[in-house]
Amino acid sequence: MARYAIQRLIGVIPLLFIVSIAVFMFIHLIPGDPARLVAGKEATLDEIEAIRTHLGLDLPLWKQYFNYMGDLFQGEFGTSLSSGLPVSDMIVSRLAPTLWLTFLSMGWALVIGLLVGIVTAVFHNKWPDYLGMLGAISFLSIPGFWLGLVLIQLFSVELGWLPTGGLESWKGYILPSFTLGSGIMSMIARYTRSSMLETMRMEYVRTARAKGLREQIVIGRHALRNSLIEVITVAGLQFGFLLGGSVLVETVFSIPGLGRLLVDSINLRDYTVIQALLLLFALEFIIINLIVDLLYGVINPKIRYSSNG
Amino acid sequence: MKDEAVTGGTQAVVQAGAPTGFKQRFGAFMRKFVKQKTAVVAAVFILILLVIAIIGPLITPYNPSKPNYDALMEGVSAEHLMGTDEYGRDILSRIIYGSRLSLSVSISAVMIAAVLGTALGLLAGYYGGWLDRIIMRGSDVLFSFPDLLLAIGIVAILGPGLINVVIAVAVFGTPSFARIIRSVTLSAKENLFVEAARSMGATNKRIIWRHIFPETVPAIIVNISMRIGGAILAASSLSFLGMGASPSKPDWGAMLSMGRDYLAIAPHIVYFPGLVIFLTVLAFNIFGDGLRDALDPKMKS
Amino acid sequence: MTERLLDVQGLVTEFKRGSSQIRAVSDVSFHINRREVVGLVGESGCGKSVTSLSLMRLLKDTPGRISGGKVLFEDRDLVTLPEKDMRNIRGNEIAMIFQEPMTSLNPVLKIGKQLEEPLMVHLGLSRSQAKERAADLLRQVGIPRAEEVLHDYPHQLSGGMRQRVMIAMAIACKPKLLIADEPTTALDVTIQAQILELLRKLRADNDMSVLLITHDLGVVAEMCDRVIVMYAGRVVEEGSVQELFENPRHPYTKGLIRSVPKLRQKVHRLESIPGNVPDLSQMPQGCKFAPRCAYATERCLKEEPGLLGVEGTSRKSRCWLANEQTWEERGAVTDGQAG
Repeated sequence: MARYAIQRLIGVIPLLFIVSIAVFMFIHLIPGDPARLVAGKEATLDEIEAIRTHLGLDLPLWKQYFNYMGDLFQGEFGTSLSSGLPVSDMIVSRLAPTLWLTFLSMGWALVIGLLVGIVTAVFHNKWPDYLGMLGAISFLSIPGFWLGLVLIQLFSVELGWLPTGGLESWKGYILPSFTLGSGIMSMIARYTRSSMLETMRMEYVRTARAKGLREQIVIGRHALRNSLIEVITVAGLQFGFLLGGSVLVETVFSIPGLGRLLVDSINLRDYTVIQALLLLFALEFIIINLIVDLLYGVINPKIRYSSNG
Repeated sequence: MKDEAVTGGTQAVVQAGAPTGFKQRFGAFMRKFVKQKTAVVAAVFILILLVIAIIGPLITPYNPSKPNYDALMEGVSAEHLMGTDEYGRDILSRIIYGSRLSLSVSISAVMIAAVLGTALGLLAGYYGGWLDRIIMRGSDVLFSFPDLLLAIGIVAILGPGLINVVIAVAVFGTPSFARIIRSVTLSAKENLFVEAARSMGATNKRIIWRHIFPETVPAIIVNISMRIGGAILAASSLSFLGMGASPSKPDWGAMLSMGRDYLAIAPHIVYFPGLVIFLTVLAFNIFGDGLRDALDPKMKS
Repeated sequence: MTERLLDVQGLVTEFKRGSSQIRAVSDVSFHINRREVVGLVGESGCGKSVTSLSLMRLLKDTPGRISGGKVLFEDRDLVTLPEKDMRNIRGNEIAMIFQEPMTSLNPVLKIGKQLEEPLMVHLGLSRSQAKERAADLLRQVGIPRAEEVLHDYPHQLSGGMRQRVMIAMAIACKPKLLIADEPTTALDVTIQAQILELLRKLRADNDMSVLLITHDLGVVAEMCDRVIVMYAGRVVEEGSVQELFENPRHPYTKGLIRSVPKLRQKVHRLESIPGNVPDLSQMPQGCKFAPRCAYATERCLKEEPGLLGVEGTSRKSRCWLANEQTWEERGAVTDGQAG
């Protein structure tokens, strides 16, 4: 287990490096002179030069990268070009809604996805199977923004049960998290189904039946527990895609989170914010994948208790 | 030329040991495919859609861009099968025009990704070594970013517009092709007829092109069909966020974005374009699934 | 109390292949007495495993269904028993161990947990009582560090130990009948001997009957009181071990015995039975073994023999020549295809 963990940790470091370089290069990849971009369209030549020196854009690239990394480690993300506020403050204030949204979405996805996956596997090739799989592939094909709008129309405008947007109450989280989780829900359902179909054919399931156990225990304890390991790992890896989808969902439901911040910043050409957010998202993605990998090592007894450590 | 003479002989030898001919494989594949009724229905739908995209704009009853202030936001009626939007334009006509946009954007993006990814995958798989490592590292980095975010980032760099959407979607689609083609290449490399060809003195280029590439074709086709759905979703999402087509163009995602403000009073403006996106993506996904099952059930990952 | 523990009468099990039904087990009848070790022998594909699964009604996730016959277990017909009652019997009164201990044990549950399950479900023991019993059982099957092993996972144990655990699980509730499906086939030869010795000991200690399914005649000779030979889904010979080995009354049995090289005899050529086991969907008319049989007569090829009694004994054989004193070798043996 220790060896497995160390291998994973070491593998991540070069990736982090490269990603940081990629994001750093971001502002230099934009066609045009970075200093001018930052200064804005109306800036005078003097102002542009002032900004160039201020941001250190006249230094050689590698030195800039150095400074950039140095700043990062101190938690310094720069200043927003449009609002002038420190980027780190902006991020912190919008972190909570996005995190909540992401976790709730995963919650929906796991609960419904696992349920559908198990039911379709147990009723393989009968009507619940067909229905479930049709539903799964439909949810994969639905554009998130459309689903969100349709749900708003249905539950807020017509039925008035839930708010149309914003986060005044906890109810405001229900529709967006369901929408966000919809794609992953289907992936989990499909994956659970195929995993369960495999495990249910395994010989230890036959042994469990031969012991005279009830069918629910056979499926629930013996088959499911083996499938669950894989499914949870796969689900964990989807976490990152929730970040991407949050952009859409926060826009549709007017939620003041990081996703919306990204969209707004792009429209405002606020490059420092965009850069910081991209880095943050990538970092989150990598870290989550790492955690999922390590988690897999913990819950899979074959790795946890392997004789070669 | 010497090359031709030598490899002409290779041809004969290799053909003898090569897998079953194209006709047999195609026949077997068609039989398996037709067995899946939903996939066939999806294929028909896609065909109809393609036809509409090509000839549709010639037969639409209304001009998709001309506003008609006498018929603002009218619901479904005999004259306007899908109603009109906030400028009085016929939604059905706009959707038909929009099909050209959406399909061309997503199909070209996926094709570009396929070409790039296949080339990279073939090179990485065949030559191995540092080339392989670089390519795989590169795709790892791209994989570090969630799909949509990467696309958004690229659009942020390049600016809005449909061409940039195509580029963005192509870029985030490339690593998956590279990975898949690389693994097919790795296993194809082991095949006996590659050894035979090489011992006959065939050049690397010829081996890759004549012997390994054909093996990758099924995987390429399957991956293309499976990624078009996602590409359509990504492209329309970008348009919805205002990063894609300019709002005047009848792009499906943009139509939704515009119609959002009128959701409470004229929901059909939002319903219909979204429904069309949904059905199109659904059709491509079902078709892709069916294709994959028919070509090689073992590819189910 | 009847002497007969298990009485199988005319069991028929069919498998769905495509649109047709194939009989994997065709009119099989035999019985097992109390405290008897009965061997069920045959090549792979002869239907012995399917028979055992049918007895336990474990065909659920297969395309197989019992379509006829009775399986009387102490006067109860297992074929028509409601599932709830069948569950009470499985693992409790009739237990089964399988061939591959690695895949037959759940890889993500601790050994102790897997052992406690039948104890708690059938004997109603509490968690702590079950734990103690589990440790006891492990000791009974010859696993020294019982308490530690309870906390291990299957992949941490060797093949032999895993099989011992399987056996412990099976005898946990002191079943009357233990069905062992090729218990030693996947193990090393030295471990094989140990496991067989263990089974012998447990049988004596627990007073149980054993149905030992195997293709290995050596194992049969060592362990069994009576033997049932199967071929192509049918019983072709039945008798005590001694009688069968000394004087087989069916050409197939004779062939099987001849093909095992004996240590002290000088063997010029290893004998094998020519031809192949027929495809279950394309069975020859008449005796199913006739195409490969060196002694087959015209009648053999046309008419399938019933299970005939051998005069003067309690043995049975499905052969027209069962009661003949000598068997003539007739003509060349075909390559296994019926004429």
